[in-house]
Amino acid sequence: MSLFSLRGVSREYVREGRTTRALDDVSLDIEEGTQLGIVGESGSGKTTLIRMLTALDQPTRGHVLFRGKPVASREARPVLRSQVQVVFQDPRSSLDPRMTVRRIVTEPLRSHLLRGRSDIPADAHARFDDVMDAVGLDPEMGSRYPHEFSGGQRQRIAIARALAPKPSVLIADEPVSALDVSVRAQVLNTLTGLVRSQDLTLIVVSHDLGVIRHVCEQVVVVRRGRIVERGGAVEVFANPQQSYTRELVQAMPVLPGRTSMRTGEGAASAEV
Amino acid sequence: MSRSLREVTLWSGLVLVGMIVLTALVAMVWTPFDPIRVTPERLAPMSSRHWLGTDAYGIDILSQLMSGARTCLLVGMVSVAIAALVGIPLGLVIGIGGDRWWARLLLRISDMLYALPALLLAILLAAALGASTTTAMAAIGIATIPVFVRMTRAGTMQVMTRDYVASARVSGIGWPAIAWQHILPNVAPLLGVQASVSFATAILAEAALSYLGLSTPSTTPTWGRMINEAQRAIYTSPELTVWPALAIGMAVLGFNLLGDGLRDRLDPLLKEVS
Repeated sequence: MSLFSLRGVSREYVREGRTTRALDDVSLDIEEGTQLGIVGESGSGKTTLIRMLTALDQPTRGHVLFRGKPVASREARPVLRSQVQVVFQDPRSSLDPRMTVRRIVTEPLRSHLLRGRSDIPADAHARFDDVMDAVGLDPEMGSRYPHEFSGGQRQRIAIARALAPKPSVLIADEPVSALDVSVRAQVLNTLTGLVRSQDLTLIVVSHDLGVIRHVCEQVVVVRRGRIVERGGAVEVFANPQQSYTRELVQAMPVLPGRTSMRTGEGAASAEV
Repeated sequence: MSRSLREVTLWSGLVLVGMIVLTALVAMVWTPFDPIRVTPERLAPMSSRHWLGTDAYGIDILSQLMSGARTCLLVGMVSVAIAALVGIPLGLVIGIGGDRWWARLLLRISDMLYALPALLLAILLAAALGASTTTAMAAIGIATIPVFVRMTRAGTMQVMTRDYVASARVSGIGWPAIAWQHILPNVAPLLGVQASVSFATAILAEAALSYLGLSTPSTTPTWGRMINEAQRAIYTSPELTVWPALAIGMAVLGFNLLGDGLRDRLDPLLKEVS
């Protein structure tokens, strides 16, 4: 059974009488244990797709299944909420400015859905220290507020929060595009290290092929709400079938930083 | 507006409000004369004995003003508290409901209440229950509820677009906890400003109601009724209307300046939050 199955999913938004179709008849299976990249230009429907997977929004037509059950159903929802965590694009928006880092990171542990899960440490303090270590931040900084951190550190905090309830699936929506180029590699390495050490299923959304190529084995190319190409990341990038994908590949800047990304790998793959 | 001017607004508001609060506190334990006992010293001019003179009943004006500050603050506090306690939770629920039919229905009901003037409500309540400080506070409070509903809803809808709310939802945090831990702390500055501005409106409404005899009974002096009573002697002692009018003006100005000053002070913060 697939982790996620989308069956003919469309999502339309009506604003001021005009209908825009963010997703148009999308069908997709996402397998357990995969590292999937969803790539496309801004406005192509990538973020809407994530909102469908996480039941933050409902499709206008079609079905989204999580392990065979509708995501919004009574059976699927509690499991979804405790096992699928999201890292959002902009940590300025995803971290509550009025909460301390400790409260932010341990927030998922306060969910009633986790009660009775034996694999979650009852001690939130210990878990906080663990996940902060895992993303390479000092647990001593727990009493500080998000604005006291740099962009890269804030995104690490967001990753630490996502890891806190020991999810089996991590979804990252443009995890590095709000960050300085200089810290993107670090954050990506943290992410890939964690995925490997904890056997996470990873779904990364990005407009940046470099990011996808760095962390994903499977890739789906989205354009105007439709999937135009899919396959192994290496093949798709080496031999794009669609003109749109070719354009994306050609538009990809070759950064000298890419080599340093590689050398930094595994630096943050601490055991959690 | 320059930074220093903004600070001036905030500080003048604080000073005016502080003066009134201090006066009200002092009046609770001491006034120069009894603020309600009639004496033969009618319409005494300003003197070292009666600083602001006495009214047509021989009651010391300053003592009445001081005692009136108490009523004014009491009515302001209680009515704003009523409005906030009902309006803020409602605004949160409506804001979280967003476009859903029940949220829109609740908003319409709140808007209907908005159209009902506090004065009319006070007349209704006074007619049904008798004029008292309580009916005045209830009328002003109820009439102010929609203001808090709208403000809280607007703030809530803004916070709802933040990813930290989406993040909490993804982690299975329920709406009550999201409202309490994320939305409320982030709209609190907005509501503080609103409370201050509503306080000014409440003071003005209370003055109007007591002027019309729809509020506190004559055993307690209020600024509004002082104006009403001074009217009878307006040709002989016009200055008697000036003192309570000045007091009302100072209080309204004070709370408005405080609200504006707070908003300016918090604005950069609000921008960062939103």
